[in-house]
Amino acid sequence: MPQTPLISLVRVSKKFGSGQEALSEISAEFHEGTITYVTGHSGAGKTTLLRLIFGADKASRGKVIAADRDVGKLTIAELPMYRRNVGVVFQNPNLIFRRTIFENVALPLLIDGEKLSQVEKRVRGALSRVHLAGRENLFPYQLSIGEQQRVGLARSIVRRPIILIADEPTGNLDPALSRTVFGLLSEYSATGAAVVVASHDINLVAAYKGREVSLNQGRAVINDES
Amino acid sequence: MKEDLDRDLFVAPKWRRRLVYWLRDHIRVASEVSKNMSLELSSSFLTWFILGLTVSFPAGLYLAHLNTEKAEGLVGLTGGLAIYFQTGTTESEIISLQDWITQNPELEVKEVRSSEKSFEDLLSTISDQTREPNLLEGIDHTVLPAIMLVELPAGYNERRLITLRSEIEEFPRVDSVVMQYEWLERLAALQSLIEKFWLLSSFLFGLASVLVTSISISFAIQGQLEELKVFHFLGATKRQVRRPFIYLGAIFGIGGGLMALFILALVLSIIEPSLSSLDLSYGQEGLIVGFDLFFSSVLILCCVFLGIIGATLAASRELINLDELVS
Repeated sequence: MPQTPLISLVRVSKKFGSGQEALSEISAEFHEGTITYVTGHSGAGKTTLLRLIFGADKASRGKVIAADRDVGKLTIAELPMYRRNVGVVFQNPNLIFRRTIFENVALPLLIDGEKLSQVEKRVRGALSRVHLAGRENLFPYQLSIGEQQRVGLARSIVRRPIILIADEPTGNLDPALSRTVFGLLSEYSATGAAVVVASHDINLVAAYKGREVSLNQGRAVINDES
Repeated sequence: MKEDLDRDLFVAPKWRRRLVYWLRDHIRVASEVSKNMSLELSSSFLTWFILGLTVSFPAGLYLAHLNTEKAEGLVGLTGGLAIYFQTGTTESEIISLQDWITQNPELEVKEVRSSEKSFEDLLSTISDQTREPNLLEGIDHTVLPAIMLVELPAGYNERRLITLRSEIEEFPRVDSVVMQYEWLERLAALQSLIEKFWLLSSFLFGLASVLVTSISISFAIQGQLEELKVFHFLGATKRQVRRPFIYLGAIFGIGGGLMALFILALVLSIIEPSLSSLDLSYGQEGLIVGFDLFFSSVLILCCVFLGIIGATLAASRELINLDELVS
């Protein structure tokens, strides 16, 4: 396992306005080339943890460090640049239904201002990686939910981000499709990225190699043997 | 993958690359907004029409203001001074003042009437009215002063007129200077009133245009909130998220400006025959001044500016909490 963590959580707590503490004194590290599963029952704080890594929320106490920088202290100009290096997959693939599959997957590259020739090459590569080559011109509503989730995954990896976070990516999928998605995430971590997957499906997580951070009432138990 | 891992997570590319990316993003946004607008032409047309109606009123008032000035010239509303010389003033003394006045290109000496000429005119008038040509026989002609009439251009204000009078009064042998400026005061007041009304209506109708654009764009943003959320979490900057709506505001402005020009052209085509008849009655060619390429360009630019302000307001209001939407 590489020695320097790409992301570190240092005694991170998150308290919401209602007084509810979603995370309490969490410390964990996420390394390049590894996949980490964040498990726990519904409401255990998995999504909150991913939102902190993504920079969508700020910790009430403690620090979220990514590449030696405190994510909670990024400026308005730095945050989008950081997010361009973080791929995100949600339970709902959040595809834009009036755009084709190609256009959906191309969005991150278009936001970056990439050349169209480069966009085309990388979109086809990403779709091929999730086994959806040849479906570029279809619209999301023409695909099954499992295929839509794979399009979401293709969109999140098309930039080749060094951090990939996935929040319950298999929540709406049947077991076979869930295994496909987990397999793809695992494959992506092998390219050198730090992949963090939140899932409540303990059995599915157990079937794949990786670290596990188990959340229970906002507290973490780390298991490297998963 | 190694090169991706080596890049700095937080730093934007160098300025040259950023400029290229920025230009590409503008091209993409302009193309997408135009495409989307062409798909929803009827609702866009409605916004253009409302904007056009709103803007055409102050624009029309401005044209009316310009053409009122033209009308002043047509009906001969020019001011004047009557300079009365002391009796016994010589012709050379009158000419020296005339020369001084003609050095000012704005002023025109309309008439110089010597005391002899004034006396002749008086005799002629009395003779016509009384049939007694010898009624004033024996009276010295120098009893009447020489007079010089000076015409002033339209818009010559009262303060300048008073200064001019003081300067003329300092000339030797000038007895008195009578100013005909009451109409100037009235006209200045009328023009000031029209100008203030125009400014006020420009402000109010401009504000209305901004609100119309802002509301239209707010609806557009609300309709695309899911898409914007996706853009945001994919790393689009706030400017990138707002950019399509700023373009939309600018396009609303262009459409509104063109619509306002169309409305003005229509109104002018309806009233032009009547104006032409009026102009011709004063011996002038019946043309409406001001409705030209410069006016049209300025009007469209103003509309684009108002559209952008409306879009900026809408985007600031609707897109403040995008992070909360990421789920």
